[in-house]
Amino acid sequence: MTETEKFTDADIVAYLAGDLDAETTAEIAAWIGASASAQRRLKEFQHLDEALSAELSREPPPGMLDAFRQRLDHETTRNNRGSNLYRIAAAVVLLIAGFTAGRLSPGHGADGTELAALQADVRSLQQLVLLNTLQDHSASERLQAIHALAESTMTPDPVLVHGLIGRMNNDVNPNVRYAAILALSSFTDDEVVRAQLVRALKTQEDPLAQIAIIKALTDTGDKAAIAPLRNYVENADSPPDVRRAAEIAMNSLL
Amino acid sequence: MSELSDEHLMTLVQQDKLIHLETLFLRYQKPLYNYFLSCTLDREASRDLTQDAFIRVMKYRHSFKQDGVFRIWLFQIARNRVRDHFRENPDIHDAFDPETHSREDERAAHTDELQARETRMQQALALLPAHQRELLVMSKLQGMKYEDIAGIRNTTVGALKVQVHRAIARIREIYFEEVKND
Repeated sequence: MTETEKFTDADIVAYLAGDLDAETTAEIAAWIGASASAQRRLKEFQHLDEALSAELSREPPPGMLDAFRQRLDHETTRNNRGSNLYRIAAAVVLLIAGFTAGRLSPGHGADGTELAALQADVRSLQQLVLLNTLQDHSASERLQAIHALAESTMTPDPVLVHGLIGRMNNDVNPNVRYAAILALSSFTDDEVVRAQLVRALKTQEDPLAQIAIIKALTDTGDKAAIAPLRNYVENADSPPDVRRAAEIAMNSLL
Repeated sequence: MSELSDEHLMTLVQQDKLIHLETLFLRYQKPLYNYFLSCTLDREASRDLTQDAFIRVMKYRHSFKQDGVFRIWLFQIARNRVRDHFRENPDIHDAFDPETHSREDERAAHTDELQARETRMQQALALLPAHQRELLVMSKLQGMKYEDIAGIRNTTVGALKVQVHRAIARIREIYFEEVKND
């Protein structure tokens, strides 16, 4: 057997990867130490490894995450829209059926009770439509629903507030998450909303969202916010604007 | 970025908290993109395929097993997506034609050593049989262990190591043959 045939290329690869037993490793190391051609082959493999690693370390094109968010948005909207339209249609049918039954009943028209009931039903339907839009429509439609809710004078149903909290915590679109925080800032009288904002302060990663939550919690005076605020102040990795906002908020809450 | 493990994030995704897909996407977009790029040799297609793979993660999230390893599951999805890609577009197998790449690369490169080396490596990868190329790419992707790849390819770690060693030895022959021919 000639010097260059003593070990195969696959043996050298296994040697470089550390995949051989101690005895074979020592044998190959001794062979490499004594053979110029073995050293050349070893260098070739090292060069190859560098070239291959460089080839497989290409940076993905910019904007991949945004493009993915849009596709995710589109897919989730498409998957859910059908079933929720069915829910709304069912609610409309029930509303009409209830209204018709009321008109045909013996006591119809005696007082304003029927009208009040109808108004309550319409209000429920409005909230159902908003809730559906919050959950299953495109990002721009979800934003519109949040704005409509923030600008309306009606007291939101707890289910709707829960829907907003869900958007704040889980929406795939950062603009929707931000809008949900702003909308929830109007409902901080609700203890659940305050608790959820404090919780979101620990989990939201977007600095804009973090500052919006800090502002909302400062206005409430809720001392539960102090601990997460302190984390921002003490964490050297916090964005400077967030740290400054947290510092101001903490001073006002203490 | 979240410190939660991939598997913990997947549990949250299974609870329809799809926002956590973002973190997984950020963690894996680069290895996945490079995997697709080495399979298709097409940047545009690789960009779309990376997103497709994660859309499949979203769609089939409930089929991810609680005791599974996300990385393995993801690359199984990626492998299937590549197969579908070539089934859907039979003519783009031409992308593997080394002649095509040689011409394209000649136009783009030859300006400096680094570019020339990249070109040679692309040509060598293109000349490698598809199954060896995939094996090599997976073994070199950041964070991939032999155990993971053996799981993805449904083989043993011992058999896989031998296959990887052979694939590297084969690409060395091709790569340095290319150098001699330059």
